[in-house]
Amino acid sequence: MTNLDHDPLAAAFDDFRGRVAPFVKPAGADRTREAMRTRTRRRGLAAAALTVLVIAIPLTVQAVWRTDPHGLPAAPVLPDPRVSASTHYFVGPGQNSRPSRTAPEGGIAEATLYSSVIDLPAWPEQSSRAGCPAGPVEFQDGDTQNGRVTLWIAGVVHADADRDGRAETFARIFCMSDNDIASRILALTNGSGGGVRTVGTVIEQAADAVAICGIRAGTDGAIQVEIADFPMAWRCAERQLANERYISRQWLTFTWNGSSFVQQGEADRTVNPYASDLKLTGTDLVMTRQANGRWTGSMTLTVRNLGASKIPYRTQSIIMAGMKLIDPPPGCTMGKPQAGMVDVFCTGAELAAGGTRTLTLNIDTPKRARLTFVPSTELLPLNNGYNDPDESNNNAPLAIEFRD
Amino acid sequence: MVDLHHAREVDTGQPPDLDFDGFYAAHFQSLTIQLYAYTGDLADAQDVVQEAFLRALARWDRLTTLDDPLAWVRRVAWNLATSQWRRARTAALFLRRHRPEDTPAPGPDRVALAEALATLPAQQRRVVILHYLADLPVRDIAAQIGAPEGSVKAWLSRGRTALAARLSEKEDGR
Repeated sequence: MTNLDHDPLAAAFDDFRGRVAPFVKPAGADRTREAMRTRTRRRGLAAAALTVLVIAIPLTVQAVWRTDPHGLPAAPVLPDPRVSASTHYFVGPGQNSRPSRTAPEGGIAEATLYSSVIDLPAWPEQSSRAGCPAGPVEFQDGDTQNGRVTLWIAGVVHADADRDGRAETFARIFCMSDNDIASRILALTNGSGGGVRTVGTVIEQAADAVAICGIRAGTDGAIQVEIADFPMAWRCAERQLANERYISRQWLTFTWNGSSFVQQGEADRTVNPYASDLKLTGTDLVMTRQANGRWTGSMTLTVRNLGASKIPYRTQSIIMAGMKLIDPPPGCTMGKPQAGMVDVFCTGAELAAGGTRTLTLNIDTPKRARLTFVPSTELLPLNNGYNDPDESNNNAPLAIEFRD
Repeated sequence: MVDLHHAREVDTGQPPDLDFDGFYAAHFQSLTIQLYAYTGDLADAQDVVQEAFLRALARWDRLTTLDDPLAWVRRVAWNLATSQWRRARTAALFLRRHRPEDTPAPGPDRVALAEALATLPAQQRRVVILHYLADLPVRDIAAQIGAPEGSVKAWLSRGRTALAARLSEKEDGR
């Protein structure tokens, strides 16, 4: 398949293969067998543990926790629920941890929280539309997944927010649905019946806090949250992909005022010079028969810059092999036909914030043909992909129709 | 010197090995390289591939009756990798116990391709990798990911263009 003579990418991939291969260290077939035997034994043990748990539940539910349903709680009287025997947890990309099994008095241990039911307040509209759930959600070992929606806990700290001598628990929680990622900091406490009760939201991802990157306890019961102005709002969910060149960070301080968490002081307002959002729309390509027997038609591409910074781009329209551009606009070229289709590339110079650019492609073909692929136009930001986080508006469907 | 012939997944033209040891030795590296290209994390890639082989071993008798056992393992490994957050809890539990030390990996500055791949939409990244690193034809890629061949062709075309543009930007930026 790969052809070094004709495809430069083939050479790049072969080079990649060669560079990575020495770093691959297989565990080996023998250790795989050993692991399978271990896993089989563990399954047996897990079944036995489940039996013990079923017996223990009636004892647990007899306990009653005294809590104020509207504010921070009075003193809970039971120890934390038991947690999984596993010591390895995965709480998000690049964030493996061994959660603590202890907590300050009144707080919920990190490991306990990872396998608990958390009552999630409603997410902002966009995240809610993307499927991020509200209401009681059961986490297991730090995350939970339902179809294309995944939630995970990434960071737990304790602070005595209401200054009653007992700690509250604060967790950074992510929700991902496809490429949409939302995050927030929740305040939690021990609830009645051995569960976790949600006190409220400290901060959530929004226009003025596009990434919530960290959480720590401040002084005098304050909670501190690190935010960053990533052009791509979810980069704090994937530390290894963060490129510090494109962001600035700051810590915000929040305190409890008796009914909600309030921010102390003003956040520095930063305008990220890399933040932008290109939007592509297009018309269908309707080919009509001409007197000379050929077919011609045109399609219009419109690119809008909804963001804050100028950005160059390229569009790629996939049309049918045999079609040609008539008087190609400046910056537009055609690729080589392959598999019944051909690409039309149009490079656009930097488009200013708020700007709109329209391009009309006039197309000719000698004969009518049948589609064997899905035509469309894709927009590719030409700035390392960092400053156009919303890819959902970078594609325009394209219908190709022949009319006699 | 790395023998690229052995690093490729489809290389011999022979029927798949029927003994697990040979099958594992023949394909672990190439699958890991594919998954590393997709995830950008070599440790994670090794984890999911190892987990896939572990699952293959658990049903080895049945697997060897398939026409293409490798396709089964590849699909499992990719499914583990694409269900990103869920995958690791399963795979990491197993492999982190068996990983003697942090997995060394080529740095991003040494593998510009991995960085460029990371900027592609997931579907494009996936089909480009299956095309170039697994050497799969469009029909087999479509079968593996459960998408129409037309969509695979379109993703492949866009992915190649985008990748070439990204790599070109990196070249220009040097």
